[in-house]
Amino acid sequence: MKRSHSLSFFSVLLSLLLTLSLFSGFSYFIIEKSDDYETDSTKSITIDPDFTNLSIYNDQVSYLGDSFAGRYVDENGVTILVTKSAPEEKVTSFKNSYPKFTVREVTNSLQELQTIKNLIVSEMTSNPSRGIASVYTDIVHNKVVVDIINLDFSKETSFRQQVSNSPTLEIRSVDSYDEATYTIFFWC
Amino acid sequence: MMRPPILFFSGVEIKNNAAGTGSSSSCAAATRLGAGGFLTHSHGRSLNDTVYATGTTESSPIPIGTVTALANSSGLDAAFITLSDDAAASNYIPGANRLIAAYGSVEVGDNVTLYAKYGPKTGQVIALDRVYYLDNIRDSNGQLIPLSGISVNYYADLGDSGGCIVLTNDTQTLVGMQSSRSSVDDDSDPDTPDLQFSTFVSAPLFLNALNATLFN
Repeated sequence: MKRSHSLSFFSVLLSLLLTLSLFSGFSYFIIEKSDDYETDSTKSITIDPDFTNLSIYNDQVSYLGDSFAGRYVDENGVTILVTKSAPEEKVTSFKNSYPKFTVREVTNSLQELQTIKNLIVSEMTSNPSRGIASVYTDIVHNKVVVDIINLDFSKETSFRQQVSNSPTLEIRSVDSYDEATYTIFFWC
Repeated sequence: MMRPPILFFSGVEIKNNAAGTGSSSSCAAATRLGAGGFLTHSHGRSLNDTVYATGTTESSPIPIGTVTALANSSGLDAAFITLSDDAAASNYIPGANRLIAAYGSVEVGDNVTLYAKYGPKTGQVIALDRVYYLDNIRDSNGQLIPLSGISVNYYADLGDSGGCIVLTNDTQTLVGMQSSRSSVDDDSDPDTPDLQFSTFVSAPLFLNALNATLFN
């Protein structure tokens, strides 16, 4: 009987403390639990979950230097891209150091891709009339992808002559700039 | 080290202005310089703009907060909304609420899931370094401001902006916030649908640019 009273007392005290802690710090936040949120109270929290991966990534970039061409993940795990021009002994040594990673050879280093991409970003900002809507490096296919509004033969020729004619470029046509994904409606 | 989960949620719908010209999702509760608020996209917003509660009408606007930080000068489509002292926020977008326990980065090929107004969408990361324009983000001279984000092959719905993006295999790790979508013409083959994809903002980058901390 005494034990039951103690448990009730502690339950009430715990509830009070929880209520106070919720409302003291952020009194203007009313956070309601919905039925559909997911939780796992036993999960270990790491603020930077990729810190270990980042460390490995930096080691790999540092080791491969100009031969590094990027990395990606797929169903087989992590693939590291190295240039075909990389010294053979360096690639062998790299494979021995990271046996769990797949190594694939490509033509362009990441640095080469980024140099071309930066050139296009510069053109994109300095010459908006060219209609460059976006640009990115496609690591998996080892190329730079450029989207130009209403691309036609004339625009592509002009781009290749005046900006870059790199064989790594893929130039595509888009109708407009990116569409902001918020709803637009008007009151009637 | 074991710690209790951080208590914050995503899935709050907000309106962009009182005139009823738009509404968005909101990424997550956060703090900035000691004040409580939400993370969302910046789109055409300016500092000190007012944000209104969902359901607000032009005749009876209900302000809930103010834009107190923008990241678009850093090339990121993100904003911090400081909640008004008397404003309350709750989570009611069905299916969009997630308990976020941490944030992290992604690699090309990672599977990610967007939780926002129009249901979850799952896709693969295509590129980490996409530079793009949004027609409504311009400087004071009307010039487009280049933004940078992560390209992914799901196609977001309008209204999903500001939604939170998590790793598909770890839905408590925030990796980004929904920004825009685009499609690529492929008229050479009418039977093949156009390529459609979306772009989101990297969580570590926008948290840093906004000087914001996840709510805990």
